Amino acid sequence: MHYIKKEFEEAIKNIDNNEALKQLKAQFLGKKGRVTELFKRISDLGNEQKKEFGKNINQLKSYIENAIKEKQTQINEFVKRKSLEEESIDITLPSRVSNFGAIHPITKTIIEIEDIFKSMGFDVETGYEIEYDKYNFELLNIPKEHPARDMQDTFYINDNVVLRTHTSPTQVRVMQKKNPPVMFISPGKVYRRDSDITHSPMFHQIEGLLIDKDIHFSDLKGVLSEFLRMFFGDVPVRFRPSYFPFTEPSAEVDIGCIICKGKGCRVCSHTGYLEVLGCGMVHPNVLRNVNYPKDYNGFAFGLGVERFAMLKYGIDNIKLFFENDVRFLKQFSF
Amino acid sequence: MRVSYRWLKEFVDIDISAEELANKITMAGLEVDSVDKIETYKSIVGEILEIQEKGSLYLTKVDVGDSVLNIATADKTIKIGDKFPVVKAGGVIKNDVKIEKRKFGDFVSEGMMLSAAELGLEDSSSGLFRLDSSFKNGTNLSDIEEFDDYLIEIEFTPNRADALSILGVARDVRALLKKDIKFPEDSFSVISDKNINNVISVEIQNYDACPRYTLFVADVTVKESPFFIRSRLLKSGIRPINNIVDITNYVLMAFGQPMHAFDLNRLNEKIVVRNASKGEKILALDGREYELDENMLIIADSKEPIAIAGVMGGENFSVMDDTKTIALESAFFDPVSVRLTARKLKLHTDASHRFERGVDPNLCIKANHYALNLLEKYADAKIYDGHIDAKKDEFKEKTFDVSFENVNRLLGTNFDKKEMLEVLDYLNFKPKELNDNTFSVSVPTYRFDIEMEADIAEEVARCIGYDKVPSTFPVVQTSFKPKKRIDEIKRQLTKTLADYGLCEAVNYAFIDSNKLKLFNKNENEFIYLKNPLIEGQDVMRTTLVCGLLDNLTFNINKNAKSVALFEIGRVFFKDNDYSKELDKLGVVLWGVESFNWHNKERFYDFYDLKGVSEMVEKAFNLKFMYERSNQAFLHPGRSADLLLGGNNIGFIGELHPDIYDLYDIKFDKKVRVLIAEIDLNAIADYSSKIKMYEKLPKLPTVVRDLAIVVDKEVKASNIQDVIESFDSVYDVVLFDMYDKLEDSSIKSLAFRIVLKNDEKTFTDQEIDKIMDKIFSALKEKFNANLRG
Repeated sequence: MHYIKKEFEEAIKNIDNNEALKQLKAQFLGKKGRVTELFKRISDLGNEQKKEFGKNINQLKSYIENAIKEKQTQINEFVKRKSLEEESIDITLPSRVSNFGAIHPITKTIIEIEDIFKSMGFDVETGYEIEYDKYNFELLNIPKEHPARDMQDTFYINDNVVLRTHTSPTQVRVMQKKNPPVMFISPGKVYRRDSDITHSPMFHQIEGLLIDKDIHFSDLKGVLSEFLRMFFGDVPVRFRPSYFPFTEPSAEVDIGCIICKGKGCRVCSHTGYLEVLGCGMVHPNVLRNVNYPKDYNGFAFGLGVERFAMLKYGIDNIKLFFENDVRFLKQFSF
Repeated sequence: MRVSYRWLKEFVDIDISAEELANKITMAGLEVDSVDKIETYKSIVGEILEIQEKGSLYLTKVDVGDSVLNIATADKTIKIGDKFPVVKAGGVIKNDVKIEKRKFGDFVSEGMMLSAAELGLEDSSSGLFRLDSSFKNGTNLSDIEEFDDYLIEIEFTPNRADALSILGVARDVRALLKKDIKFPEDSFSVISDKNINNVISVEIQNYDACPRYTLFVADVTVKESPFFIRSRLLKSGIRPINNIVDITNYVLMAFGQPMHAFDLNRLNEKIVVRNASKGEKILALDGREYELDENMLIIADSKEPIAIAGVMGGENFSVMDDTKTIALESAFFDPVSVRLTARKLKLHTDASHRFERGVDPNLCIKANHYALNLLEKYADAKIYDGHIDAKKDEFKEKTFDVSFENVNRLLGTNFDKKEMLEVLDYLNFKPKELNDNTFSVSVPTYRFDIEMEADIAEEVARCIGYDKVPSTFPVVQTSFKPKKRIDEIKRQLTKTLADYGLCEAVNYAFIDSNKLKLFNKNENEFIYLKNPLIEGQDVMRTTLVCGLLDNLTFNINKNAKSVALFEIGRVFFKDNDYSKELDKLGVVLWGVESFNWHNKERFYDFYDLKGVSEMVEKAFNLKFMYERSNQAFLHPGRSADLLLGGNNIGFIGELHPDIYDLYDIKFDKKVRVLIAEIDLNAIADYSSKIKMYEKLPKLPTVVRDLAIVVDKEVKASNIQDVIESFDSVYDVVLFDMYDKLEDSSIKSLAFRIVLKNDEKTFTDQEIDKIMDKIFSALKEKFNANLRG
């Protein structure tokens, strides 16, 4: 009996398919199988021995049955695995989605800036791209023959209508419509008669205005510093006196050059700083022009979207934005 | 403006480096673009000992201290004893030009004498840069005072007219460093036997345009200016001419007062300041003739214009080599008057630049005195007794009161009173404390930009430093404002279309009117630019398609094989004198739609484009009607107008084959150009944000297919509508279309129909009944037959 067990164990070891396992089963447990043969020998034994012998054979039988079952499971697993392996494909082939589009970097930048200001509670307003001279200049404290008109070379439709040279007319438009407090930004296209490597006759600005009681220049510093850090990361920010006819005091805002980290490079003209924003406290004349009560004041700012996009994505030629070369655009599908 | 650091130091004590100074004034509002040390290229002083003429060249011997060099030059004006900057052979000058030995016959030139341009002081020079004869031969130029200097390039904002001079910058530096201004000496002596009133008189006819006109007269000798004047003018970007002109320019740079010297002997009788008569002409110093009009102020003699007031002098009345007596003008002209004249004549000069921004009316005499002091020293001037000072009124300083509290509140600061008053005092505002909270200021007559309290707040802040203002965050009580639907739509659409595989384009809003006419026959709607930058950008777009097709051409020329672009932007229609602006979505598709390992190559076609409009429908819960379009620029059989609420809100379709050529696109039967445009304002009007959900079927649905044959002209969407009109129909999909049958007038369509019943489960008989009903309806309406 012991010998049969040994023999079985030797045999099952090398079996790796269902066919052989079936044969093995027949060889030991079949009608003429080795174990079955053993049972036949029971009748030759005495009662005492019968009992002992029967128990042993039954043990051997169930041992063999279990072993075969186990082997069966192993073989099934193996067969399944093998057939899945045969179905293996090249997972590095590209997907069926072949056309990836992209949002224009200007729009991406506007969305990012809008979302920052929205999170601070600013509303979003839109203005007109074709404006009256009155809104583009006069109500913003830029009378005819003011030298500041030289700062912005203007496209004219007729003597009183221009392509807006900045998004600032939206300030006046909104204030004429709404009572204070107001708090909004306004993105859009603006136009200046100027074209070279760094100037495009059409570009994008985002205007901002906040009017309430008791707003300080320090608030302007706080809001814009926070915005710049949210957009550019942790960069130094500095405010420098400047001039805009519609703000007083006025400032230009520089950030530490993100290319050279302030060491001085070609992009920042070796100053270590990049000019990114113009801003100031809204000029009392502008508030008077829209008949706002005297106890209200506030700040305004304007930024060039192309400049922000160029710095953010390292784009070195403003023309790229408007050629709409698909090889350029597709890079912004992220 | 370029400011010499050395010159500036003569007006105010500066104990910091040029770079530190540049940073300080930048942070106070005078933005410095660059600070450059003057480069001398290791040149040394050389004196000409001998000159030998040879053809167009002069072969010279030049004493450079330790040796005598042979140097050839082309400058005709050189004389023995003249001194010039010399670079020996082997040296390197501007733009890395290497100086080498050169042979002229048996004369070997061993170096080069330099012009101002070669030293980088001007763009081009007519001759060599003559040095002062007192300089020792062989001295390094870098050791000579005027060359040991920095040039500070400042970009001035238009409000700071007061700072457009060395004095002006010095006044800001004074306030920042808390130092005193030092004025140059301006005394001179007069000759008592000649009196100005015997030789000239001044008559002002228009005091509004010329509130003040001052004049001195002197006999002079015209010659070359001294070295320091020539070098300082060059450093300021002004070309030296002769001592008289140079001194007027020197005073302009020093004080910011434009001056002009007339040749007295060329004037007739007197000076009249008047408006020109229409058509009057003047030959100006730039050699060009200008036609004047009655709004332009001129300086005239008794006969004709001798200068365009505040802009440019007349060629025939200016100082020339033979001039013996000059009349020296220093005036104050009205900024707007000068600006209008300069702009109309397109003549921008150093003088007009300053006058149109504002020149101190109280500076006239002081500037004249300084000029006369220099003329006496460097032009042997004999100054006539007396002077003319024509004016109606005195020029008084404006005064107003300012509140300490208001300044601090506007700035959000806590500056103390003493600090504020000190700064304003250094800026010459003569602040006087009136009471605890108020002080008065007196605005210097050179500060045209200071009018009110806010201006004083800025002066205080810019001098104490914007960096001393804290950063705070305002708390604003604003009411909830719902988002504007059009803005939401634009943003959502951008994202949707990018996800659909299109790239967003951004185009100029001005386009070529000739191209626009292809897409819009109604020229009355066009808005033309009065002053376009280039010819092909002369009209505001009324459609986005023109720009997108230009983009397509551009990309095809760059060898693109697949172009799928959209743009969301404004279009503009004329509305009387003004415009109506609409937001549109434009699309162009062209070329390869798919080219990959799992599909055949396929090109964009009408149905890809229709996918875009269907996405718009889905995204905003709308249903467009598609009707055949008769737009002339679209393929008549492969285009549709989109209708929403009965209004035409756009189109989709293939570009008409006739138009391909005009955009340099090759027409290819397989590869078509597809364009679309949709009015987003209409989408905003019709779409609702809220969509109620539809209940799901309670019981399992049943699926049946129905294949029919109909006339080719029958619209699939109409059939679908009829099927959908049955209550039991839950969903319909057209899953097959075949129109290449033997009978070419018919097509076969197959629909998969999903049926639902909320009461009980369908029996087979019931299903057959419904399908029969559907088929009967189709038979009746479209003459449909079951497919055999």
